[in-house]
Amino acid sequence: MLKNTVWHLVALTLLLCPAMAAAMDPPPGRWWRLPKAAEQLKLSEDQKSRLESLFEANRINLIELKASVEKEQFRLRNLLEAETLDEKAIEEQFRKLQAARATMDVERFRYFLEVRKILGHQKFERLEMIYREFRERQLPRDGPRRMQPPE
Amino acid sequence: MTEPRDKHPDLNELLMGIVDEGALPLAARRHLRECSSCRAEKERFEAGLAQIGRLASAYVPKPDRTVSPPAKQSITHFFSVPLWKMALTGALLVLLGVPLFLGLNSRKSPSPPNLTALLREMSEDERFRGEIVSLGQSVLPGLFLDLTEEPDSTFEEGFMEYVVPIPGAEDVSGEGRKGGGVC
Repeated sequence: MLKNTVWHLVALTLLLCPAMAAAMDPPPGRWWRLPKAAEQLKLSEDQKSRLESLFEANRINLIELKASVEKEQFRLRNLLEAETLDEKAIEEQFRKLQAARATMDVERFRYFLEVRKILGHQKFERLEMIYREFRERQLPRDGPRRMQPPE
Repeated sequence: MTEPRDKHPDLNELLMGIVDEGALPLAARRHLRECSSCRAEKERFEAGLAQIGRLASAYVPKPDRTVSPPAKQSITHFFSVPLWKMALTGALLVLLGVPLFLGLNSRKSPSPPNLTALLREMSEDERFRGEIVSLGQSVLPGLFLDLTEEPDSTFEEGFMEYVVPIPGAEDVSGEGRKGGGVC
């Protein structure tokens, strides 16, 4: 009974991870190096150091996980483009691709969670506010978004 | 019953008179002063004791090694240094220490962040993150997405126009779509 409940919770978390990660991604890059962010959030040296380590580890993991997803995706495409369909192999490959994707989403969510832990509640809320303001100011009328140096 | 004090002191009283005369009773002290024979006896004892002392110091063995206490001059203490030396040391420390301190501090102080490079990195990271998001949204190949999910309006119009050409559209557009129809 308990085991089932735990598995349900794990499955629910995995299902919710991508959505939550997408909705709550912290600012990109090493945002804590921005003078304004560091000043307004009053980040300690320890917090900055932990964010640096976290960012580095997360990016390396994401690069590897992204490559894994792309590899599985390529294999699936090959199976789908084959003259004769091997349904069983396709289904198996699709599951592998889904698993790779889920692992990547969990890593994204873990980054968000660690940033939240390092900053604490108040500073994280403040960061969200600053980032929202920054995005609104940086958003051009046409074309893709691009970071611009502050005036 | 008390004995008369003109009685000569015994040996103990005589020795006490040599060691600590004040400890003797007053009468005994007076007797020792006034009695010539007792005084002579006391002087003889004193001379004998002095002779024993001289003999003792003469026959005591000399130490193998002479131990001498350290001279006061050899003890160095910061506060025993003359004032002018202290002042000179202080001045040298200030002259050497201040530039060194400033130099070390200037090395430790972080250089101002290169904002342009930082923003470029943020931009690249955002693009990378976008790729991750789009990769995570759906794992199916593009064609399968278009066929299975709701296509956007541009794709739908273009695709339907290609599959079912509208009569007269070729003339209007000026571009032939020969053989494009499937029906």
